[in-house]
Amino acid sequence: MNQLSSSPERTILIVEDDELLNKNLCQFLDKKGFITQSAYSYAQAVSELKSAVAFDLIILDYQLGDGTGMEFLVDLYGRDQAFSPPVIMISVSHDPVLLESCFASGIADFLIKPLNFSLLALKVGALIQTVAMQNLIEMQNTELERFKAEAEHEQRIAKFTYEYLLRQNNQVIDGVTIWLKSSAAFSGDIALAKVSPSGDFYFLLADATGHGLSAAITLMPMVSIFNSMVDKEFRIQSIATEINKKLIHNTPENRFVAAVMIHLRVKQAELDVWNGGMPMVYWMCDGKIECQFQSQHMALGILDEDMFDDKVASCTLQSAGALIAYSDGLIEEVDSEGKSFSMRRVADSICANPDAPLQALVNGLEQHTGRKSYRDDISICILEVPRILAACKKISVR
Amino acid sequence: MSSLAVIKLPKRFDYSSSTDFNNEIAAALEQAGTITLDCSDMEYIDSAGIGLLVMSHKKAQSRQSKIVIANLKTVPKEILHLANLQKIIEIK
Repeated sequence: MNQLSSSPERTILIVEDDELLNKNLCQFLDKKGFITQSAYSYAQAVSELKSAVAFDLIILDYQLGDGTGMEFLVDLYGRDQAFSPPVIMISVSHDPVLLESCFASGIADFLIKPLNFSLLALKVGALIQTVAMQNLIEMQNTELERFKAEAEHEQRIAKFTYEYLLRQNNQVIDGVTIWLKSSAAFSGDIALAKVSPSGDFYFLLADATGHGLSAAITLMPMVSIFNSMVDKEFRIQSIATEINKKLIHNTPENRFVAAVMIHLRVKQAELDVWNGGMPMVYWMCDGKIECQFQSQHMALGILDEDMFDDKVASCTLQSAGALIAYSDGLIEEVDSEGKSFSMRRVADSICANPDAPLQALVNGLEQHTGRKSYRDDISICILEVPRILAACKKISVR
Repeated sequence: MSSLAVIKLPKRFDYSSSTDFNNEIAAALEQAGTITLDCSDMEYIDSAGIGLLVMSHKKAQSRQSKIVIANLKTVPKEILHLANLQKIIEIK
């Protein structure tokens, strides 16, 4: 007999009005390492059920002097069948109708008298083990449910905090369109736009390592740094340096953030772009790609301060066209043959439909993949320069 | 004496590869030398995979060792170049 079934704390109730058989059963099962409790009548068995003892198994004679085993089953399962111990019914009867009705009433097994004690011991051991396993699984399921509920509760709080942080630090600016598709409850991509007190426009699109909450946590420090440094009119070189420093010191070594920062320096009529590990940023003008800003740097949070490069790509700012930035989730989504959407398809889509580049990319991706949900977070941002410059003017005048 | 270790990266190199990869890197770094990451089977790498490469590079640097990436296929090569990984890790 295995360790589980012979465990000393397993208690068996033996309901048998034949006193000799009852005692023999007790002696036999005691020797096998079980604790036994005898009941010699239906009434005594019912009273045992009401006692504080929790039985692991019941051996039940069908014919008791003052009642039947079937009546006892009604009392037993009337409480709660799910938490009732398994029952082995014993009887001299071979009647198949009786057997059928006993099993229909919920018994676990049936043995015909005279009993084969060795067979009984095997059945008792197997049943007790099965029930113990079921109880263990049930207990683990309950624990899992509790853990799931706790995790969901914590996730709701974290999501609320994260979204609040983003709302507090992001400005709604005319001409800025952000399309963000998360692969999980939390997005590992963020896009922030803000106008500085002097009327310059700043934009940040960031894509953290991985997905979900762990990615979102990496992005949190960036949000407040970006917001406060824009308020103080810092150039994006300094903002990138500061965020990199923060990520190097405060996040694990394998966590980093690919990012593109754009600064429209309105008075100087200059456009600065810092691109670290993000796909190409396009400036579309008159239906064609006027200028493109490729990644010249590693993502933020990888290089130590002495190796970090804050150099930006600059060009003259014209009040025309739109800047298009996106995260790598867009180009890495694959079709059924494993072919990625690719930078080439991005460029083809926006050139084919320069007046509605966002719709062109979203439709193009959907047609390419045949899906509307994606394995990575995807962001597509369209910055319409004339409208943004007009908005900057209005905001700075206020 | 400097050693030459080769670690073969799996078809998909992402967060699920971290335990095996980190164990292999730790074993290879027991002796200073050059560790070649053979990417001939690798078809996909995500940002978590790039994170593992960066971390292995930093560990190698701290132990006077070097990581070299070799035999990249086109798609993962584009992804690593987009991340500018060639700035810190030699890509053959």
